[in-house]
Amino acid sequence: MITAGIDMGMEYVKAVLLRDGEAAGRGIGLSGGARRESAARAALEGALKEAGLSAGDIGKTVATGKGKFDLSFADKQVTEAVAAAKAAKRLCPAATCVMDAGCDETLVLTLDGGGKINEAVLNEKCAAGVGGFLQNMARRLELSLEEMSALPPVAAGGATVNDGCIVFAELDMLSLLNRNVPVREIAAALTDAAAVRVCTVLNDVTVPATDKVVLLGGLAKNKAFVRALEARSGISFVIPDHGEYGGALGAAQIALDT
Amino acid sequence: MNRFKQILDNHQEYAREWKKRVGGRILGYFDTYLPEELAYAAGMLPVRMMAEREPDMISAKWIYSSCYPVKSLTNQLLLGRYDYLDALVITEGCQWMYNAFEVAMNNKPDLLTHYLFFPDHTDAPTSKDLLVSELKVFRAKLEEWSGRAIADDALDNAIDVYNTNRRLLRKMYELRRMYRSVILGSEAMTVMLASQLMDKAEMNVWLEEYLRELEEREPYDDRIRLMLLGSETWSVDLEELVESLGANIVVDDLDNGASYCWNETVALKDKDMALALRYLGRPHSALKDNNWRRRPQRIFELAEDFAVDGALIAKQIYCHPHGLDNYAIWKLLRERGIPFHYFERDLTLPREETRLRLNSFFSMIRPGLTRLAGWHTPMTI
Amino acid sequence: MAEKGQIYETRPLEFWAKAKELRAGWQQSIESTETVVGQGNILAIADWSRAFPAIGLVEDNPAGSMIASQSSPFARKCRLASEIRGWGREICGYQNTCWGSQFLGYQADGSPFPYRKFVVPIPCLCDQHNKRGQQVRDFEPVPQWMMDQCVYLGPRDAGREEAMIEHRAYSMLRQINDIERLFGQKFDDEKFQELLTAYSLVDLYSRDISTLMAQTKPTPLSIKDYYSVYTLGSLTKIDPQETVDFWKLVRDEVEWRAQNQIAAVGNERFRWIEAHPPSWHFLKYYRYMESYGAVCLGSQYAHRVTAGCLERRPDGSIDRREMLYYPKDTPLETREDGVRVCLTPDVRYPHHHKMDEYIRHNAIVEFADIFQADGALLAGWRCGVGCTLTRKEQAMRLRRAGYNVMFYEGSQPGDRTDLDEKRFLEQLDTWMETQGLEKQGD
Repeated sequence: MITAGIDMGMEYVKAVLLRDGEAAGRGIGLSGGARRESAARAALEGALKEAGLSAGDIGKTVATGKGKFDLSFADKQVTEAVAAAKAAKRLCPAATCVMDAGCDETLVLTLDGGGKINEAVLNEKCAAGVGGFLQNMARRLELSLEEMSALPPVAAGGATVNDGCIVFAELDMLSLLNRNVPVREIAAALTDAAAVRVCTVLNDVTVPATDKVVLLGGLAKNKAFVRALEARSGISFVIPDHGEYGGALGAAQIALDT
Repeated sequence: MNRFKQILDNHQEYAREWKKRVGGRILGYFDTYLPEELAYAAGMLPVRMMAEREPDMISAKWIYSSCYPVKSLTNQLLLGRYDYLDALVITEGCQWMYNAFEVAMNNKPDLLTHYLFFPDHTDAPTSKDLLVSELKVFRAKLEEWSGRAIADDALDNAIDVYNTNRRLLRKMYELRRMYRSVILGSEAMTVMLASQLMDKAEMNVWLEEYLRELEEREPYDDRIRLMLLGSETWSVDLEELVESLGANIVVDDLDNGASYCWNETVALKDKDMALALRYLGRPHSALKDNNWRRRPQRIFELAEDFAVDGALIAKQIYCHPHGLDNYAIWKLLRERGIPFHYFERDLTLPREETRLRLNSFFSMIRPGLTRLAGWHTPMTI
Repeated sequence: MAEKGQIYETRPLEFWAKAKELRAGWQQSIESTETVVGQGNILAIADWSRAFPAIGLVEDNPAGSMIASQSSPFARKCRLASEIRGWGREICGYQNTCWGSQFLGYQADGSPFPYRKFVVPIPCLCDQHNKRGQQVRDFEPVPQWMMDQCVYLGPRDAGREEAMIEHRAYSMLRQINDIERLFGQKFDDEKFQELLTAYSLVDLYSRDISTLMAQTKPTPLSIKDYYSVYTLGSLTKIDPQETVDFWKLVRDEVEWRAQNQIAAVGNERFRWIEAHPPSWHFLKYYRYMESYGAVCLGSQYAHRVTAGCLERRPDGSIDRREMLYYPKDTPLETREDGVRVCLTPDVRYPHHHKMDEYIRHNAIVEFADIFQADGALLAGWRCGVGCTLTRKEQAMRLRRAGYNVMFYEGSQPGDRTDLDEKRFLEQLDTWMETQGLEKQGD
């Protein structure tokens, strides 16, 4: 049976196809939050192409992500937390905790041995939009995300920005730019501030596991951010390949299981 | 000045070193309503808890949506930065501070703690009686902690040391009043904050030396004279930025600024009553100034006395008592023709944005300041 | 008719009709030109204000919430009227809307704002109450009587309490004397005593109701219904005997429902508690949760303000929390006696106010246990220190005790501007779905 999982994220829509439970194809579409349905179709087309399938082959489609109810052709919707837990257990059966950090939201779940969710913690508004923030900051610093990701995560010169509020962080960034602080330093300060904010979500979990924490979502691709987060949290994350497709993968798995 | 700066920059160090040197106990406190004299007389060093700028991942687990000083205090307490404290005392005041106190209490079981109810209704005829009752409870607690009674002469001495400190700090404010002052706002605030961290007897010696030094100093050029209003401050970044733009903060109405030292304890036979009257009669914080509004009048008097050209109101984000005072303060300043600029601060002071604000404000008021343009020379006070 | 997923029988509440009648009567009395409308907190002045023939008490919290619920555009106007006076994001919506309406001079329906003729500010549970008299007096120099809310931590100290009671008793007696003098009204001492006796009965009935809600599965009354009546006789001035009769009526009906397994929510399968005021303008979430079979049992706030009326005794049994009232053998004969009776529980009640929420940080865990809850929904109100204090620590302690907790945010219970309703409902979905619960009827 072919099942599809579609993660309707704020920045990108991701699609994953499973053929009898085995990964068959992935696709991605830029949504920006405004063109979700068409982005979902583009993502699904990409996945179908990779899998060598057509839309008619799909037996069941499950949507997740912020815009999950905007997808007219989904058979079912599941919350991001449920999809992330499913994906984490599939990708790392020993996982006891999963963090999904994306453009808009960050969530942390603790799992029992069977994959049941013990705790689900979502970010507070002050820690919202961290992925989008880093993207915007890269643009302001005239860096690509890849370049920003490759920079050292700690500012050697000690530059810091406000880590309590991204608006203030941006103002501090402008101050640093005006003082001719090197762009690399500023990028590192911004990355670290983002890591501090995201770390507060991890800290909200009562008994966070430190060894089997799966990191999903777009921010898993930002190496500088991951290093900063690891340094701040003391956690060594399990980062699966294509972690940004975690939500879609979980949704596809749920389509198969239910 | 350097040694005051050092105290402020390493605000944990003085108490640690004092503890080693003197062997006494340290009592941390949150706001300036604590009758420090009692703790001092019991042989303890009262130390003001100071907010610090550092990455904070911890406080969010314990406290939601407070101002940054409260977050910072919680962060520092939980990180063990204040582990040299023997006791922690809070007086009835800002509830966010209270939350930090409560988190510390729940997490540091070995810490001696006390809650002193300080009337919010400061001007009822019975307020003093209630405060005396509370001071007696606090005194008994201190005696229990130290294992000995607070002797009358020790309390007399403490009152004297604290009064001397207030007198010296007031003298510093008098120097700030001068046309072409010999002291900058950043220097004065550094001294003021350092005084809340130090043994007052030692502080008084330093302060006397410093005041003598100031008398010898060449005055600074005349600048735009400003008054600083709003929430408590924990650093002198703002003052320094103001000075870099050709202005100077000559007076303030901050709870841990001028209000901390403005009135002395008047000797009475009943020392608890003397202390109660001192603290009830001090210039009140925005929170305690809740019955008849007295802050606007005080602010106006200070503005007149210190001949200010304008006021800066720097409020901490999420500082509700000051938020609620805006209306009355703005109204007063507008009616009295005192230009002002209002803004909010957070963990960091965004320099460029603040510079822009200040520059615009100064550009607005500078043309009216004829003495700065050399049209006339004010009399020296 | 049975709904899909229904497990228990349910039926409408019969005390509704009487509740509506009492509410309408109160509204009429407030609108009457004979009434001197004062501003004050229920904890400060409700008890004595009713012994004056024509003193009406209005509190800004419910007034502000009502504005936010009635009309978004008007609430926005009120906020703007407050904001241009310098109130920022840290000032709570109760004040912003209530005093905004005062600054505008009219209410949501266009009728004139009921200007207060006097004001009694009290710090109460929240710092922001501390300065509430000033909003009225900045507008018009009406009489003001400041009042302290005395609290302390640690073991009971009779001497400390006495000083606190005396300080407050002085303020209260002065208020009564001044109001007699200024408004030419005679304080009815006999009625005052009658009221105090009535309140103690109402207190007992309301504790019975809380006990029945906590201990009966399925719960016979949900907090959604309880909130609709719980200000009757407390915030709203009603004849003492009528108040007692009404609360007996409610208690009897709830007791009957409990005995006959009549559920508040027919598909109850998840019991949850919350903490402190809910988002008054968005009570829809109670119904939304019911679609998952999740019923709300309320908060410590709802069940006798902050404390929760029940406690687990050392032997494991559950009983009513002891209230340290004025000594029972003390005569209730003079005005001063009455005033002390009003004030004593406030100071002595060992788990009241800060004593409970702030220091007894495990109180909410005990509350969840006693109410047989499965989880807790906690609100973070960004502009309300009193509504938010200790909330994060409570979340952590509940989680540690094994309760499933969801945390949501808004600016303040009486302010809808910053509550992301869609995200809030999505969070509820996440909360339910991560526990394996699905909407019934889907």
